[in-house]
Amino acid sequence: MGRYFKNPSFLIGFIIVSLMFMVLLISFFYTPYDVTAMDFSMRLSPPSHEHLLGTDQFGRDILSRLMKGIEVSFLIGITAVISGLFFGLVIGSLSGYFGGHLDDAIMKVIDTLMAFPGVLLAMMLIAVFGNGLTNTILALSIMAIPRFARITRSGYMEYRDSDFVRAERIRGAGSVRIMYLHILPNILSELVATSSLSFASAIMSEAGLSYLGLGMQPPAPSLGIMLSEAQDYMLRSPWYVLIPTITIALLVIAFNLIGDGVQEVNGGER
Amino acid sequence: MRYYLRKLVGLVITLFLVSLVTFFVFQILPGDPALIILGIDADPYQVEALRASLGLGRPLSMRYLSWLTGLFSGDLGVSIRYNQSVSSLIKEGLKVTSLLALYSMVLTVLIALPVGIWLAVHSRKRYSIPVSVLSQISLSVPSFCMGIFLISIFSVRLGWLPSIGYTPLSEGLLASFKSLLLPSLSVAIGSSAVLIRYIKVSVQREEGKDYVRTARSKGLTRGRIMYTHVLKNSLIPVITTLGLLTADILGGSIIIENIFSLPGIGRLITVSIASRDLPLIQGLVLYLASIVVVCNFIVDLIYSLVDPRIRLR
Repeated sequence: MGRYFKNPSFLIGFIIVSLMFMVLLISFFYTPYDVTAMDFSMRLSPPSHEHLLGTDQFGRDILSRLMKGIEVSFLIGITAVISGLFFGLVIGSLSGYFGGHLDDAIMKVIDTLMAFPGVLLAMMLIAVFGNGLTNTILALSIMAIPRFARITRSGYMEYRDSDFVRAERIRGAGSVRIMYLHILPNILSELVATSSLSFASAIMSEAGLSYLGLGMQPPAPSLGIMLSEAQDYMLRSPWYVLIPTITIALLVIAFNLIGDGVQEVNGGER
Repeated sequence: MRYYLRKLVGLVITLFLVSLVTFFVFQILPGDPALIILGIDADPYQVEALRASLGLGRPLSMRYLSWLTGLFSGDLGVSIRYNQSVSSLIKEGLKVTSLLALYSMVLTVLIALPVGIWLAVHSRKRYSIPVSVLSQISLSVPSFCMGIFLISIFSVRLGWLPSIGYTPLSEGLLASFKSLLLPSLSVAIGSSAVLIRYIKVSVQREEGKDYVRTARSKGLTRGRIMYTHVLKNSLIPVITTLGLLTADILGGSIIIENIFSLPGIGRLITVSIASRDLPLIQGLVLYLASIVVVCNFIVDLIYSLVDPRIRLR
């Protein structure tokens, strides 16, 4: 673990994520104000002692909304990564380990899914299932699968004929045992890196979808919703739009840095 | 020849699968699509009329077939929200999106080429660190955050460029260019960071090869080796990266067009999804995904022409 902290990318990313995570923990128990409490006498007031980051167009406290928004981002990031990792691992390991026609068929499907650029796949799923938190999570989880499947597959293809796998096979170990007890540990660090990068893209996609009005719905606090609401008041209160923008950017940069750091420590990209 | 045939078959299969996904994803909608589109308390006559125009009475496979044959004749159905043919809407939106994509691509290359080469040459010098860090940051900042930053600087603070809206080409080249400059810059900054990385790695890998050492021992200067030998060889793989960036640029433009209120494909798709305009969504999704598939195909072709060894794999 120590060697990771010597890598500057990882260290910076880790510090930012830890800080954000602390904000998230605090937001479970305490936010300065209620996230939906409106106060029309305080509309769009600049940062002050009462409201550290100012208030929005309904007089809601921006800091409180930001804290809850970060919570939503993490929730979506974590679920998308866990489901992407699980299904990607199962699909990718079967495809990479057994190869042949199974591999061809699976890869064709994955390639097809990857043909839908950016958030388009998620948008399509949302058009089918409808918007809201659960459906956004569902859409982004499905969107995360292809990336994990590809990484896992290439890892399994590399190791399936290696000596230690052959030795295990001769010893009589079953496929499942070889796949998940022996090969998996070898590609773990790569999966960690991919998880971090996927976390970043899930956060980014959620913000984008909510910005477009296709993800979370107002008055729920989400960084994307804050961004789209704030854009209308850009001339009057520029800080309002910059706060969610900078927060999203920081979160994405931090997770990307962690991913890069893990890759660098483990010797280059594949 | 066999390589190209295999690639072509692959292309056709992928396009077919894409059309299959695009069509059938929208068939798992629970309930009656006509009711979903029009709302529960819609006029029953209207619902019936829509059912008939969507062909909902026929079996699924027949509907898919007629949709597919419609595709080949350029008939993607009629948009429910706009009451216009889907293909004419796409054509209209494409005027904006293709211009945006073109500007973004040109800006990407204009930024990435000099910076990437400069970074590769000077990577061991300390003064290159700020440039590396900056390109690392622009790699990570989401394009829509970049868009908002750019608006707040160039439109709100400095007032140099319009913040939102699109001026068509017919109203003057300069005005049109100005209205697309910030959006394309927001897309280009991110994608140029990707390209910079590729150029840097590619140039450095090429520099480590034996023929460079030979050239060195022959007494050529580093600059001369760089510009007469290394760059030519190392920029070939970069060309293919450009093709792959097309998907990024298209995906990025969906949100960017909304931020800058540009009436392009990305804006159209958001509106169509928000209003559950099925024929329009299907047409747009299929169109965008096909562009990506075809671009990947072209990239593979270029690659195989440039590096024939790939055909043997």
